[in-house]
Order: sequence, then structure tokens, then C-alpha cells
Amino acid sequence: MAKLLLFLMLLPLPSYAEAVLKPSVTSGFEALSQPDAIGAGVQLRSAQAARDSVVLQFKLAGDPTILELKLSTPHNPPEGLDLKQFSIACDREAWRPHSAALTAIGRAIDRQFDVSVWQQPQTDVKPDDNASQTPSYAAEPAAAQLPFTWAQGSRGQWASFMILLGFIGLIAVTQRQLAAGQRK
Amino acid sequence: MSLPRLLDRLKQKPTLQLLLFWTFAAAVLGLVTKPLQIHGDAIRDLIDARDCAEFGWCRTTGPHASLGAMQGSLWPQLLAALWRLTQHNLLLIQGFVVLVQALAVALLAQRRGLAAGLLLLAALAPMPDRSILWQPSLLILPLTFAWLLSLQAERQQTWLSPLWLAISCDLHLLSWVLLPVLVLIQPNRRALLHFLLIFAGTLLLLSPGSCALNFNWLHEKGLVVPLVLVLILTVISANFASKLRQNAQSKLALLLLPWLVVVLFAAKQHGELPLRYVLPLLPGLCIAVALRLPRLSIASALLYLLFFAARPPHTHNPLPPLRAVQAQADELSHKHIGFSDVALRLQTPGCRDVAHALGAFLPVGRLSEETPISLETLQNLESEKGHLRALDLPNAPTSALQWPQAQMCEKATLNGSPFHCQKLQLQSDVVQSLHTISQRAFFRSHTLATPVPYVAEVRLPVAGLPADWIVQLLQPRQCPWQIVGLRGFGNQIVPPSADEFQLPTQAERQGTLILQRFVDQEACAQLDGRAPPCLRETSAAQRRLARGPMQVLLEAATGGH
Repeated sequence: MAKLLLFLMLLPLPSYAEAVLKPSVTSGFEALSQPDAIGAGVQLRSAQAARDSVVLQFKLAGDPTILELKLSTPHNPPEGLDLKQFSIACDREAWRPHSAALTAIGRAIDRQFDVSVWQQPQTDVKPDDNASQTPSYAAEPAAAQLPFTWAQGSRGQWASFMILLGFIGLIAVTQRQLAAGQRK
Repeated sequence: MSLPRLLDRLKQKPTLQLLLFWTFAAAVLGLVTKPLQIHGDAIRDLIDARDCAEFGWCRTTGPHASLGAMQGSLWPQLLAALWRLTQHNLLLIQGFVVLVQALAVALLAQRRGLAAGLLLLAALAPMPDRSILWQPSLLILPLTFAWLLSLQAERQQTWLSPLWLAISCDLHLLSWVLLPVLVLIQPNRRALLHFLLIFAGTLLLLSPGSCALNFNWLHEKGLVVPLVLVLILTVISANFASKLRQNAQSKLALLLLPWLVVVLFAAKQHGELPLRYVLPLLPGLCIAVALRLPRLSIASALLYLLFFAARPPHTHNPLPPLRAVQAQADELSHKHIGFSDVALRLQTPGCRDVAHALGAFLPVGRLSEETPISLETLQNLESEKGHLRALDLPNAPTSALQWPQAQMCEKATLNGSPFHCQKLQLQSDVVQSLHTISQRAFFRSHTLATPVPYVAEVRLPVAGLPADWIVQLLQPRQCPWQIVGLRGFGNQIVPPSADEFQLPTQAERQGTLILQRFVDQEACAQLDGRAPPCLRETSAAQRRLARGPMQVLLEAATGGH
């Protein structure tokens, strides 16, 4: 029982190691604008000129960093950025388990933008001109102290079940150990 | 059959004995446990758990502790599993927590005598923290295990003792005070090495992110070298102490020193001593007292439990219970109303806290594009004996307060500089993500741009005023806001009362309501940050109804408003 318990607890170890050892992305935009990393993303369409700035945040799978892009107001328009149509793309594989997350992002963006989540086959996608330019609205990591993420999607959900099972199992093992100790 | 004889007979059937103790403790704790309350930390933990359970964003760090370091991630992970298993049923989750706490009582009663168990039960029952679903909720069981195993470890080597201590430390940083004691009772150097390896390994396995960040934190504070020195000294002392054969009292005495340091530090941080800071000591104290005074312990514990169960109800809490907020959040979701739609505009006492709580259950962001939200929707989160009214009137009036266009302004009072204003918005009104989601629970805790003291001013546009319209301030006890006037009706109108203002009904029917408060203490600034005040709109007729006919008659007789 104890060995089984230990085995269960050790199962997520590779993910832990990955989360702890993998360096965080500090300058996200370069990573995003690589042509071979494009495949899915968020598209914003504005029916009218934006009155307010829009903050768009998104996250790459397997990386704890949250990238934050600020689209400026028309009073200070970023060079090369057409606010009426703007696409942000990132690695398709990374986004795949995150359809729920993308939906949440779409809901949260300022109301004057029509937000759509798009996914296209990698071969059909061309790098976005705007995205490939070095932007004046540089991508900012959300904060220095970012949380470590060790499991995502269904992996994370199942792992939490395993931890609960491990916790309950450990209680049972300890109770047996205590009983055995008292008999001695 | 007398109680001692019954207990003797039960000793022959330990499983049945444990089950009986467990049932009794669970029944008592279940009886005296209040419904889950709104608490900022609990909301933050729920949001973390929801992130993990629904979006698969599970972290290896826990939340920030008030001491500065980070808690472990075990509690959010367990909560995430419970969240999914129970289909978001808070009552079932609270039931699980009560069962775990009752198990600690039952185990102590079974292993160290009924008196010890009853003492623990009597100590746990009145703890107000138990109605909060947060990091220390499960703590008592690992602590009890750590105590029981460490007392047993004198005779029998066990790998479980450091493991449960590590789980305790992961659940709450307070548990670190137990480490020196448990280290000191290790019988020899080999046992000590095993203990430390298992302890450190378990901690790393449970929350590598917290370990890494805590190491960084210690490094930044310049505490790594002193701690290593302390560790070396402890190991040397442990080696020496193992030859001294200390008794239980001296172990307790050893525990008191680190505990006192932590308590003094915590009291300095909180300005008080929360009862949960006693938790690491509690199983040991119960064992020690019950050992010396078994009969007196049983009698006093039972008497105290009876007294506590028969006490009059506690003072009224203006905030609704968490389950009521969850039910309300479900209703709002069905109406396609999101967190950002309501968070700033709630018209209920403690609106900011209620908004935090809604944040744990509502979809993030703004869902309703143009649909006006009725006043009933914004106001029906008020607690009425723990029950929320759920009104859904098709022709209900909408709010005249235009919160989305409101501005928050500040100026330092000393230099008389002009107000600096910015659009009032939720810090978390962006996206559900790992980073912002915790801030969603704490959007009131903005970093203050202006040093204390300062004057804060909210400029709140009002439009579409119905006739006879009143705005009331729902005041907190500290740092009260005042309605100072209304601009935009030709000139500024100064209200007769700072708490309530009957808005003029003119053709233009729009203006800007000005509210101010003077923040003169750091504590006041920390309390609410730059959160705007809670307001409620009502018609003069409704207000008269709410105050009752007798009061209105008296006012009419005296010419009052």
C-alpha cells in the first residue's frame, strides 16, 4: 500500500521538473512572431475606432508566463497596427488544449471588439505582417513573480484527483501504522 | 454500563471505537459549524481550485501568506478535486472538511485517551476560522498525525512522521514551528537524516514552485545563511539531545520558543492573535493536559461544548453566506451577466466583499452587451437572515449610477495638489488567467499611488434619473465616504446629509455625483485600497416603506426628512 501510494505521488514528477526547470519567457513577442510558430490565435475586429486601450493576455501551454499585449488608444496609435483588424498568433500545438481559455479571453476583451478565436492548418497560415514587425507596443510579461504551472488540461484535473486519493490513502496507511505501533 | 467499562470494552474493537468517536465528533462539529463565510483568502483559494478543476491550470505554488512567504499547493489541489467531485457543491466540500477535522479528534481520542480527544473537540468547536474554506481548513489532521507519530517514533521508527509534518507545512507555514521539536526527538543521527530527507523530499514533491519561490524570498531577505546555521545547530543539538531522554513536558517547552517567535511576528502583522496560530500546539497541549488531568479534562470539555452549543446566535453578519452568493451567481449566469457587469455596481452592504465572492463563481468578463441590469439584480444580494431574495421583475428600473464611466481621483492632503484621476475599473477586468485570477479576489487591494494621508474622490456620472430618486451610502465602519455634492445641474448642489442624497429631478437629469473620503491611516488604506463606496439607489416612496410607518409618521410630525 505504501509503495503504491509513493508511486502515485511520484507520477507527476516529470511535469514538476519541467515546470521548475524550464526557463520562463521574458520577452514573449519575439517568440510569438516566429513564422513557424503560427497556427492559431485570437483575432480582433473593431467596428469603430477604439476609444479605450485594450489589454489582451494569453498564455502558452507548458509555460507559466502570461503575455500581456496592450493595444493603445487612437490618440497614441502604435505604428503599423490597424486597430480594425489585428491578429495575434502563436503556436498551434500550444493552444490546442486551451479552447476554453481562448473563449474566456474572447469574452473579456473590451466590448467594441468583435473577438473570434481561429484555428487554421499550419500550412494555410501566413505570418501576420503586423505581428512580425517589431512592435512599439512591446509585449510585457505580466509580472516578475509568476506562478509555476505543472499540469494543464485534463492532466491537471486528473492529477488533483490523484492527490486527493493519495491524501485519503495516506490517512488509511497512517492509521494502520499507528494501530500497529500501539499493539507493539 | 459505566463509561470507563464501555471504553474498556470498546478498546478490544479499535475500528468500532474509532468509528464511534468519529461519528460523535463529526456530529458535534457539524452541529456548531456555521455556513461558509465570505473571506478574501477563501475566495482566492476557490478561484485557484476552479482554475485547476475547470481549466486545468494547476499550480505548484499556493497563495501568498501574510508572513511574506508562499503557502504550498496541496490545499488548492485538494479543493480542485473536491470542486469537481462534488459538482461545485460547497455544502459537500464543507462536510468533507468537517469529517477530516472530526477524524483528527477521533484519532486523538483513540490513541491518547478520550480526555485528549474531547479537549481537542472543545478547542476546535468555537474556532471562527472553521466557517472559512481556506488553507488551514484541513491542517489539524496532519498536525495530529505528526504529533501522534512523533510520540510513537521514540519507540518505533516511522517514515510517516516527517511526511505528515511536510504536509502540515505545505498546508500552512505555521506548522514549521513543529520542525525543531520533531527534529530534537529523533533517537539518533541516522534517524535524523532520514527524517530530514523525507521531510524535504515531500515538501519538494508537493509544491516545488512554492519551495523555489520561498528560497528566492529567503535569499532576498538575506535569511538563507542564518537558516543554514540554525539547521546545523539544530542537528548538533538533536544529536546531543537524543542522549538526554527528555520527557513530554520538556518537548513542549522546546516547542514554545519557536512558536512564541512566530506568534509575536504574526501578531505584529495582524494586530491581533488569530486562534489558528494555536493549531500547531493544540494536539500536543491536549495530550499533555489530558495525561495529567484526565477526569477534569473530560468534565470541562463536555461542559464547555454544552455551553457553546446552547449559546445565543452570534452577532449579525452583514455579508451573505458563500452558498447564497454561489446560488446568486448561478442565477446571474443564466441571465448572461458576467463578473465585470456586476462587480463594481452591486448595491448591497459589503458590496466589494460580495463582488469578490461572486468572482469565484461567475464567468469572467462582460457577458451582457447592451442588456440593462435591473436594480433588483444589483440589490438582491443583501443578506436577510442568511437568505437571499431572488427577484426577477421584467419591468424593474435600471440603475441611474453610471459606474462604467466613474473616475477615481486622489490627492495628497499635505501639499494641496490637484486631484489625479483615472477611470475606475476592476484590476481584474481583463481575463481569466493564472496571474490575474488571484487579483480578481483582491481587486480592492490596489497599490496606493498617493502616500497616506490622502483624499480620495469618486466622480460618478448619474443619468436617466427617475423622479424622487435617492442615493444612499452603505457605510463601512471605518474610513467612511461622504456624499459631498452633485455637479452638472447648473451648479454644485450640496446635500443636507453626507450619507443620503435625494437627487434633483430636472429636465437634464444627468450630472456627476461627488463622493469623498479622507484616508488618514495606513490601516485604513490597506483595508479598502482605492475601492469605491457601496451605494444603493431607491425611490423616496420605497425608502419610506423600508423605514416603517411609525418612523415616517414621526418624521412628518417633526418635519424631518
